[in-house]
Formats: sequence, C-alpha cells, structure tokens
Amino acid sequence: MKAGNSSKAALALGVSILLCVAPGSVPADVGGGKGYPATPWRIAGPRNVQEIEKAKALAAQYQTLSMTSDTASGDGSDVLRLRRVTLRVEQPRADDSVGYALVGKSASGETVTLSFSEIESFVVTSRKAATLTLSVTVWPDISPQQLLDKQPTYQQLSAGYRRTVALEVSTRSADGRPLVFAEKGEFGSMLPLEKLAAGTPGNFYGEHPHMTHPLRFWWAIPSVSNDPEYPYRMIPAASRGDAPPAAVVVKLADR
Amino acid sequence: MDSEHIRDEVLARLEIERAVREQLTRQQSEPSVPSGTGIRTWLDSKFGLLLIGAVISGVLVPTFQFTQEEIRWHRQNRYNNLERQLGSMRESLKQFIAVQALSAELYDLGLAVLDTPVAAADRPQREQWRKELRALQARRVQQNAVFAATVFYFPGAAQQPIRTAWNDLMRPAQQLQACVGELLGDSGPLSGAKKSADKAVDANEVAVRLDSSLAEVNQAYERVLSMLRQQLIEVEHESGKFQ
Repeated sequence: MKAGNSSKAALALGVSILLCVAPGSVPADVGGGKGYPATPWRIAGPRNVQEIEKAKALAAQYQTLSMTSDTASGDGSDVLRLRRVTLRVEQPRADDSVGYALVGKSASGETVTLSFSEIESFVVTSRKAATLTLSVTVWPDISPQQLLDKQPTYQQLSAGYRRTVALEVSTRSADGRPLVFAEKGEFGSMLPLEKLAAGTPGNFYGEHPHMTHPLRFWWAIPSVSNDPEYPYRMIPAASRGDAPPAAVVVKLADR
Repeated sequence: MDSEHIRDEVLARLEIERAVREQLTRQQSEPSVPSGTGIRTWLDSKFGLLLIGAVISGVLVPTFQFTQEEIRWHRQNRYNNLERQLGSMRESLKQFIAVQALSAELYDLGLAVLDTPVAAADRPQREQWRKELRALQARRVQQNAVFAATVFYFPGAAQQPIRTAWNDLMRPAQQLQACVGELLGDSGPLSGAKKSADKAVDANEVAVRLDSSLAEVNQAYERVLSMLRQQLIEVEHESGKFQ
C-alpha cells in the first residue's frame, strides 16, 4: 500500500515537473483568440545573460508612455499615448542623438540613468525653471543575471522588484533646446518636458495589454510569461470585442 | 390831426391787439389740430391704406415665406447630405474592420504553421496552407481597394491624414504577410539540418517576428480607427444640430 502511494506521488511529481519544463509558451483563451504571451522569448528562453541584456537594450526602444492629465475623465479619452517613445530635442537635426532613458541627478547629486525598459511609472513632484523633479518607480528592478538565476513567475515579479528613485532631470538639452518625449513615426505626438506640471503622472504600462509590442518585455522569460496571470497577450485588434479606442486628445500641452 | 382822431386810432389799434391776443390764447389752450397735409394725409387715406396692405400681402409676406422656405430647404438638403455621408462613413469603417480581420486571419494561419511540428506538417498540408495564404493575399488586395475607395466620403481635411495613417498600416501588414510566407517557404528558417537548439532559436525568432508584426498592425490599426471614429463623431455632431 505504501509502495502504491509512493509510486502515485512520484507519478504526480513527474507529471508536475514535466508540465513545468514543457517547452513553448502557454496560450491563454483570451478575447476569443489563442492569446500567446507577448514576449521576446516565445518559443525558446534566453540561453545566457548576454541575450537578456541585448533584449533589455532593444526593449528600451519599444516602450509606450501614457500621460494622463490630473483632471482625467477616466474614459481614456484624455490620455496621450506615445508609442515607441524617445527623449529628444524638439526640432532635431540630422546629427542629434535620440535617447531611450531618463538621465538626471539623484538626491545625493550623482548622475543616474534609468532606461525606459526598467521604468514602470513616474510622477512630476516639482518643477523649477529648467528642471523637473520626478519620482520614478523602477520595475522590474532585477538584473539579467538575477532574472536568469531566480526564474520568477509574473506574480512574484509584479509583487516585488520595485524601488522609487527621486530624479532631477533637465527640461532642456546641453545647448538649450527644449527636450520632448516624442513618439516614433510620422504621426508622432510630442510632449515638451517644460509642459509637465507638478503632479502629472506618466505610465509605461498604461496601454491595453493586448496592444503591446512583444519586444518590450525583456523580463518575460518563460517562467514569467507561462504564469497564467501574465496579462500581456497577442490578440489581433479586430478580433477583440472592445469598443474602438477613444480619440487621442492632447490636453497636457495646453497647460 | 386833432386829438379826437388820434384817440380813435389808438383805440382801434388796441382793439386789434386784443383780438390778436385772444386768438393766440385760444390757439395755445386748444390741442393742435393736425395739419392734414402731405404724405400723412395720403397715408391716412383709404387708397393709401389699400396700397400698403397690397404691398405687405403681395410682396413682403411671399418674400419672407420664400426666404424661410429657402433656409428650410438648405437645412434639409444639408441634413440629407450629412446623413448620406454618415452612412458612407459607417460603411467605410465596416470595410476597414474587414481589412483588419484579414490580418487576424493571416496571423492565425502563421500560428497554425508555427504550432504544427515540422514532422507533422506533410507536403499536402503545407500545400493547403500555401493555398490559404494565396487566397488571403488576394482577398486582402481586394479589401484594401474597397476601403481605399471609401476614404473620399470623409471630410476633405481629414482625407490626407487618414490616407497617410492607412499607408502606415500597410507596411506592418505587409510584414505580417511576408512572415507567414516565410514560414511556409521550403527554404524557411525551420528547415535544414540544424541542431535542435539552433532550430528552437530560429523558430523563436520567427515567432517573435510574427508577433511583432501583429503588434505593429494592431497599433497602426488603432490609430486609423481612432481617426475614422473621430471624424464620424464630428459629422454625427454636425448632423445632430439639424434635428
């Protein structure tokens, strides 16, 4: 009898292990589609830290910044969404570089660079003539090496790995031209940093989870994306039952 | 001249002066009587009143009624045009969503190819997928043309931005189609005598490219959709003013 129980337990354990290590991503039945997770590691996970670091550098170029005014109606109509957001000068010249990070001074005066791929959100806490003080929430605050070693689930990752940094950023470039958050592409909306009032929040995860770009989620290794709670899924927009998105109205620029 | 004569003359003058004063006093105390001359008299006359009545009822009233009718006709005409335009714009929106449904079908076909192990996908199966892809390509070209033709129904100022956004959507949609085509190609990245780890990496790359194309299609679709919707709201609002 004991032998029978132990063999059943071994079988159950074996099945569990098999399920855990089964290759490929787990599709969820979301929005009428298969809903594969949006991740750069869809079929094969990263083989080494360098691959994650490469994915993290690339992910910085695919982030979406959602800016909501403090008088938002809540229906999404007054959210300015900057897809593939960059930080650049307002009227760039051919030789101007484009940034994918917030660079500023911390409270202790040291220069801090926060890549867009590791920022969850920020709030403008105060505003001076040529600088803004931001309270930036860094997430996921985990190194590629830790990610590979710990293999966290999405729930573990979202519950922790978060810290807040106070950052003083300049609203103008070194040569005095205004800096803007700008969207990539011909229709690119822009939001000058000088227009941001104290209290304005910015969110890098404010987009619909089915409208996101898979290359954003450098941290979504199989242990994360196979979590059933992982919300970012690949669903064709036309097959979603949602109402068409509200028109984008830029209100923040009118301040 | 004797004094008697002078006295009589003074008395006569005094008499005249008294009479004049009396008359003046009477005229001042009594209300003034209309003079009864000129246009006023003519207007007061029966003929005048008849003529004025004729002008009002024969010229002014019809002119006023005609102007009113004309305004009403213009409003009705404008309302009908807006209603027709709204109907066409709604039809255009429908055609646009149909275009996107084809992208969804393309993505699903790509997933089907990707999810089927290479060993399980025999030649007839792959040939069947290729046929589906060709059919989808043909339908996409037709549907694109149908939608592109309906952009004319949108207000003039909005047409060019819609066309540009639409062209912006074409690029990732084309990428998505190319990606599915690549998955079905005989010399595709999944075939060949590679090691299984390399194959997995290649397969991952293709899968991510497929997903990335879909994400870009989704985002470009949302942009066009929000533009169309905004225009629809504006025309609906304008139409509402006539009700």
